[in-house]
This record gives sequence, C-alpha cells and structure tokens, in this order.
Amino acid sequence: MNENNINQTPVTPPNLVVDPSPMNVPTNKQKVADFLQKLKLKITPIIQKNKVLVIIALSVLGLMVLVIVIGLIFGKKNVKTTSPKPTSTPQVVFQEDVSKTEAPNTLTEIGNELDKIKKEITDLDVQNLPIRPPAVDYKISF
Amino acid sequence: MKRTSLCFLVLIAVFFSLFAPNKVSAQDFNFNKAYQDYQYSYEMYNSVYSEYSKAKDAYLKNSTLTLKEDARKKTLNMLQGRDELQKVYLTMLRMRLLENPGLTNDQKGSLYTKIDTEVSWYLNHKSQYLESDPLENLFGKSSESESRYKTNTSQVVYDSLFSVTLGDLVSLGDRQEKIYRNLRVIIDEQVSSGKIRIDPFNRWFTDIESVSRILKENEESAKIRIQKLYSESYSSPAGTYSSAIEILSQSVNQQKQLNSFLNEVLTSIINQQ
Repeated sequence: MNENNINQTPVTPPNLVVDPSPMNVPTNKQKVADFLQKLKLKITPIIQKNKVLVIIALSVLGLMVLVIVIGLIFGKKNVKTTSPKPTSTPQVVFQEDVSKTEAPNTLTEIGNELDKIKKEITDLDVQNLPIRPPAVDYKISF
Repeated sequence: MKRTSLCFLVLIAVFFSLFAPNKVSAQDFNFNKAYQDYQYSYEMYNSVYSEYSKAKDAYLKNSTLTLKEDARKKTLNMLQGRDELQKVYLTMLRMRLLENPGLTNDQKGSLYTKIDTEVSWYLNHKSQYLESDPLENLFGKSSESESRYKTNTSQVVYDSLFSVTLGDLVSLGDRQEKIYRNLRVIIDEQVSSGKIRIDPFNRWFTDIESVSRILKENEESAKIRIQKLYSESYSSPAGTYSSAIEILSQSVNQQKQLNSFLNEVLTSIINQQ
C-alpha cells in the first residue's frame, strides 16, 4: 500500500508546473492590501465601541510627539548654553566691559569681587583634608 | 469613563517615566551628591570592617569551624565594601575636578581617563569576589586590591587632589588678573582725561606683575614636582603630593598679597576722584 502511495504522489497536475498564472501568486502589494483590509475590519468595531478612549489616546500621543519635538528644538539650545566653555579669555571679555568701567558702580563691583576673592582665599583648603583618601586596611590575613 | 481616565493616567505615567527621570538624575548628580555617597560608603565600610574585626578576633581566640565560617563571611563583606569605597571615592574626586573652573578641559580629560580606568578596575574586581570563596582566596584577592592601590590608584588619587588645589588657585588668579586689567584700563582712561595722575600707579603695576609672576612660577614648579608621582617609584605618592602642595601653599600667601595690592589700587582711584 505504501509503495503505491509513494508512486502516486510525485504526479503533479500539468497546469501548475507549465502555466504558473500570475493571478494565483499574490504580489507584495496585494499582501499588504489584504493585511490592511483585515486590520481595518478588526479595528473598526473596536474604534466604534470606544470612540472617547481612542480620541484621548491619540491626543496624548500627539501631545507626547509635540513635547518631544519642542524638547529637541529647545533642548539643543540649552545644551549650547550650559556646555562647559573653554578656558576664559579675560582680555577679550574685559575689553567689552571697558566702556562701562568709568561708572563708579564698576569700581564698587570690583571692590565686591575683591572682598569675595579674599574670603575664598581665606576659606581655601589647600590640603584638601575632607577629600583625602579613606583609611582602609589592606593587612587582613589571619 | 473610569476605564478611559485610567488609560489616560497610565499613558501620562509612561510618558513621564520615559523622559523625566533621566533629566533629573543627570542634573542632580554633582560634587555634593558624590561626596554624600562617599561618606555613606565610608560609613558602610567602617561598619563592615568593625564586624570583620570582631569575627576575626573571635575566631583567633577560639578556632572553631563555625567561627571560621562567620569570619569568612564578614571578611568577604568587608572586602567588597572596600572595593566599593574606592570606586565611590574616585567618583567623588572626578566630580570635584569636573566642577573646578580653574582646570582646562585637557587637564580634566587626562585625569578622567586615569580615574575611569581605576573605577573600572575596582568595579570588576568587586565582582570577582564569590560567596563561596574560602578565606585563602579572599586573602589573595585582597592582595590584588592592595597591589593595585599602591601601583596605580594612589598616584591617580594624589594627582587629582593636587589638581583640585591647583585649579582652585588658578581660578582665583584668573579673577585677580581680570580685575587687574580692568583697573589698568580705568586708570589709563582717567589719566588721559586728566582726572587722576599716573604717578604711584605705574610703580604699583610693577609690584603687582611681580607677584603675578611668582604665582605663575610656583604653579609651574608644583606641576613639575607632582609629575614625580609617575616617574619616581621609590618615593611615596603621599610624600610627593605633600611637597607639591607645599609649593602651592606659598601661592596662597602671594594671592592674599596680590588681593591687598589690588584693593590699594582701587582705594587710591576712588580717593583721587
């Protein structure tokens, strides 16, 4: 019986081999269209049932996209302003202030800055005592 | 309606959990936070060290298997805590350098590379301690940490500490330099408009520049001294650091003097107006 079956199976219908009609093989476009059609059929009743939910979800998603876009646009500007600047060029910066230095306020500002520096020098911990290496024990064998 | 509001809340929560925490954590981690972490790790280490010490003493007094096992567990905890402490300490130093305005990006970058290598080493080494390690293995792994600290970490630590002080002094010096230039421009303008006389100022400028030059020389001399951390294997890193810091300590007095000189110039301008 088995032998008979084996002999019968390789016989293929001539139509399929000789004439592969394009109608029988779906193209990618058709596949996508079919998939979308099925998806639409499945989703439509769900949307109709929960219209409010869908509207809220879409508006939240829209809001998220909007916030991300705003963040990307304005975020870059923030990065630029907060990025550490290279070593200051006092001469150049100073030249811009020169026109204003005749005002007594500037002398007052200099006085204040000197007082501030004096205090910082006094408070300066040259030895860095609070951040010296921790005392740890390496001799642990017993 | 309940369902929709619940979904809405979930979506909002997901949104904030995705974006908000990263920003906050990145902004919040600064030197103060790193220092608090370090203090906490130090307390933790002291705590586990105390437990280790007691367990060790108990075992040495009465060498039972149970006490040995207890000592082994406490030793393991202490060793892991020690590696963690080194890692957190190095991270704290890194943050101190990061926030130091007196160091150039190149100086910082060079130190970051060294610190990061050490942090990675301790992180990796900590993970190599196994719960099942016998005491002998723990002692061996402890020696690796000791060796690493002596040959690499201590140099990086003292180099960083030196740079912290150097950066602080350079930052103060830059501000004084800026004030000096500012005062010079004011004097030049007021002299040319006939409001004040140049007479004492020209000599004062010479004295101020002389102090400024001494500060620069000290800085260079201290930098050369600290490089011995890497070139002189026979001297202790702590000793090299102390001698370099001693040079910078002299700069503190010079900077105090420079500040009082600048104050005198300022007072004199105000009085002559």
